[in-house]
Amino acid sequence: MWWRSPSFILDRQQQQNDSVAQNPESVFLSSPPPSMADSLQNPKPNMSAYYQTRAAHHAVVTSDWLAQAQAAVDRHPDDDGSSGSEGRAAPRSGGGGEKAFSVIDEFNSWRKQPDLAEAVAAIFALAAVIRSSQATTMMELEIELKKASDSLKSWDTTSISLTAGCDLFMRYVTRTSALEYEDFYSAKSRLIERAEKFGEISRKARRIIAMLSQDFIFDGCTILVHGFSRVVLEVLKTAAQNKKLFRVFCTEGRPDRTGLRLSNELAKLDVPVKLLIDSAVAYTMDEVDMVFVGADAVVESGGIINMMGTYQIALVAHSMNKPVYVAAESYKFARLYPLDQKDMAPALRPIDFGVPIPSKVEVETSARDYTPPQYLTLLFTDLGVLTPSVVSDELIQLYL
Amino acid sequence: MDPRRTARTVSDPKVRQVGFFTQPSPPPGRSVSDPPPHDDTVRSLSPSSPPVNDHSPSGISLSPVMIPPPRHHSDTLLLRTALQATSPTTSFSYSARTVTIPPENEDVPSSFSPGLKVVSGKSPSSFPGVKASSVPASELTTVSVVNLHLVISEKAGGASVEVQNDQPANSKPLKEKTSKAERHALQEAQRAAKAAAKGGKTSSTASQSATKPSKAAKSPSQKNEDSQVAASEKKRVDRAPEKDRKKDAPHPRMQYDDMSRVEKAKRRAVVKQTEVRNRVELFRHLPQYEHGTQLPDLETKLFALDPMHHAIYKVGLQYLSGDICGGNARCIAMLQAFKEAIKDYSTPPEKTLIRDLTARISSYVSFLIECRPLSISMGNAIKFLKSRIAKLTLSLSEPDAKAALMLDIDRFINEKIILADKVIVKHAVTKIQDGDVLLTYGASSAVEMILLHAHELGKQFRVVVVDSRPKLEGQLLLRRLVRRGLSCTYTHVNAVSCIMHEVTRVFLGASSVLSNGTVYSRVGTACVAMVSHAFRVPVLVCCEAYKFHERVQLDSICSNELGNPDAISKVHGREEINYLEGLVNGENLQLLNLMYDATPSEYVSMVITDYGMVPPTSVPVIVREYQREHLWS
Repeated sequence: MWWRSPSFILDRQQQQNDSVAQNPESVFLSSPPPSMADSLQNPKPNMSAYYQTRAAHHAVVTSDWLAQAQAAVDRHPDDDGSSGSEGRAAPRSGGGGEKAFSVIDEFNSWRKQPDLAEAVAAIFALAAVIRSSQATTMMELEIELKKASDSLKSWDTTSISLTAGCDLFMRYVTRTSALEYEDFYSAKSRLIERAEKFGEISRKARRIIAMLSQDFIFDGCTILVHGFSRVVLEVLKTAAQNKKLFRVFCTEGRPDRTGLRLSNELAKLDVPVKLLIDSAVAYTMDEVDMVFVGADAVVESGGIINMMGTYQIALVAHSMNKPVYVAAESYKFARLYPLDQKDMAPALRPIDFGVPIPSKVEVETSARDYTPPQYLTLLFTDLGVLTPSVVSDELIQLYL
Repeated sequence: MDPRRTARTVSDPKVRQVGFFTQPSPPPGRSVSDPPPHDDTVRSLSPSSPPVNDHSPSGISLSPVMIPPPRHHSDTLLLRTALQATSPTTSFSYSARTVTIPPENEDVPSSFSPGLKVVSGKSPSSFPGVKASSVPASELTTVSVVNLHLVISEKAGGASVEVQNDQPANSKPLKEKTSKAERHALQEAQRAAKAAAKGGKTSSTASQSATKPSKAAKSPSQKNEDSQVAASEKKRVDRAPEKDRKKDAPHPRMQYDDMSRVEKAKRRAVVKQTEVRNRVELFRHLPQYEHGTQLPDLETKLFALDPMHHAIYKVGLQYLSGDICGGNARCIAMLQAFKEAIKDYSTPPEKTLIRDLTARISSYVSFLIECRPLSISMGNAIKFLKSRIAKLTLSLSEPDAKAALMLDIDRFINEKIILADKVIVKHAVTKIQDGDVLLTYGASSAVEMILLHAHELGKQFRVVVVDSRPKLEGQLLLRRLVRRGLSCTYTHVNAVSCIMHEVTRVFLGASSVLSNGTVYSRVGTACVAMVSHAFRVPVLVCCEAYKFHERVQLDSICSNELGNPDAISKVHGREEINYLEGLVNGENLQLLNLMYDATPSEYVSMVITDYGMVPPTSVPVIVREYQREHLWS
């Protein structure tokens, strides 16, 4: 642990001096009045595109930082747009430059649909690349696709499901030997067809997961959920439809308050819901029978990457011998293997504390954490109910 | 010692009979796999003599396995005396062995007799509990068994004979039911059990012979025994060639506490190794030899040895002297020697290449085992080569076949070792970040490549090399790292808990990774892994996939390698530190220099292989998916 070495204090002071010298405003992460914020903030490096979309979809977020973020995007196109413009350039050069088609734009337009997972949006965007491609051979098409997926991936390096979706589709294109003996155009249409199917598959996956998890929800149980996950919502909805009697504890899910949205949805279903603040998890764990969480990504070790706070909930549940169930579609399986929390590309997001934070105070803005497999009980996926160690088996079979 | 032994022989055989052989209910392990019809037939065959029932063949076949490998101190003493008095004993040991051969051999073809199955599961545990109180040593039971057997055959002659004849017929349908793997396992267990029985018997008869005068007129069965010996002697002669055929190569994991096996192996051995006397009790099943005695002897034999190829011989000597060590280096050296041997090979007349070459390779392998026990990686490489030989088509001409094999060997070295290492380096480097402090233990070639490559990429990190006596391999690694300009810290394993708090990653090499995720590696690795686990530092094990093995091992006792005990009793280059002067050969000092240990999978965060970074739980998947493909396809 490097911070224990004495040289660390010096290093850090230096770092701080540097950063302060560079952009002294960047430490204002809180939301001062919007008008001031517009002039002061340089929020782009603090915001992951993935969480931006999520925030927009979930709509419970404090409106002011969203407005800031939007304003920031408009005002600083070079930050986020720099890689985007590269991406825009790439397909053009590959395709011969006859029309301005961009994977990123395509992807963003797909992403707007709230029901569509990011990985599926990526696959749709790649399918659009195929559709608009002028390539005449499989090899050309493959190269073009590779470029497009690379630009997509580099556009938002923090989104794991985007990377996983791109990889999955590329895998399908390069691996399917059935394509080899057909002529090019039928192969091409088949790829498009396959991509189209992904949307359906992803929706179906949620149904399958909901069905599989019904055996684990028993009458009279108390379920703790964290964050807003479409799969978990589907699971709970199905359980409610099956006339199961259960109650749900929703964590608040700071800072974007995704728990509030989930509790709204559940209240509509007449499921008894109780809202907790994030720090009340250990307090209520006694009453809880199981923990249900979604996942941004399931990594090779069998652990999950999910919204900040999942790890500590899993730890508390583990120490109290409560099962932790993860609901995740199989396209979220990613060939990643974080060793610890710091071993990931951090996805940042601004945090609204409600009061101005002095510039000397550092703010942890990471949006997600990594839960190691030993704290998870089971994973509900469309491949079946898996123990964490099976994830790697599935990944090996998929990618090797 | 003598009075004790006589006392034991005098003890009442009847007591033991009750203790071991008349079991009122079938043993617990039996009920599952044992088909009831078999039991029924035995019962129905001998309804007239119910007490004898349990002594029917299945009961007798139990007897050899009832003798556990010598464990107690008294046993070892006994064995030692048996060894010392070899000249008179040998003849007796032979005759003693024949005594029980009839029932045993009856069982050999039908190796699935339920009785034996039971035995393999329960013998050591159930056995001392009953008798430890009454009889202090184990080996004497065999005597009683023999007596018992004779008594039975005297008493209930007809019935039991019938039963014996009946048994093969009964066990035939059984054979079909059991799966191949099961059968194999059974046979293995049986073989081991039989050997153990023989070992026990040798020593028991030795003791018997020594005390014979005192009890010469004691039992009437003694005479019978002699007659039995005479009768079975004939049988043994018939079976002799068959036995010779079986023992062409020693089992790679031979149990070295099994006297008869060791004797047999010695007779065949090319390398005459003298065994170290004082071995640690727990590790008696492993070979340990006096170091440095055999080298000149072997060198003189270099030209006299006809069947051994010189390249193999050279590699063997290098193993023996420790010039080649390290899993990959040993494996590559062996494969290269095999390649050379294949190059110079020509099929003798009236033999086929496939069969003869396989036998040849087997003999080479047994020579190499005598020089130093095989590593698991070498075992896998040999398996690969043999499967390649077996898959050669008969129509292939000899030069073509040889060329194909040599190409295969080259491919194995390139793909499975050299390329694999490159891929491992590529993966592992992504886990090294600026500011990291990496700890490594011993000297692993893969870890060295990773560190050097990360340094070439310009990553800023520090290395802690942890080392241990007596080999001090870490210094070699340290030397190469420091030369390339890495900043290093060097310490011994004793200080690992002090240094661990500043470490961010632990990179370890491995001799093998087993199916349950256990990492089998240089001794001390488990300790380092455990400390880093306690400090929550991730442990990354770098291991090529060809070193994976489907075996499951829970501890480092049952399979290991013993190094030279002198290495730990003396400090090299410092003659004045010699506190053990004169004590080393004493009876009450046992030196243990283990070479490997097993790290449980929960201490391992990640295994980096040529198939990517996988959790240790996924090792069996890789074994299943890829080993098979390379070995059998």
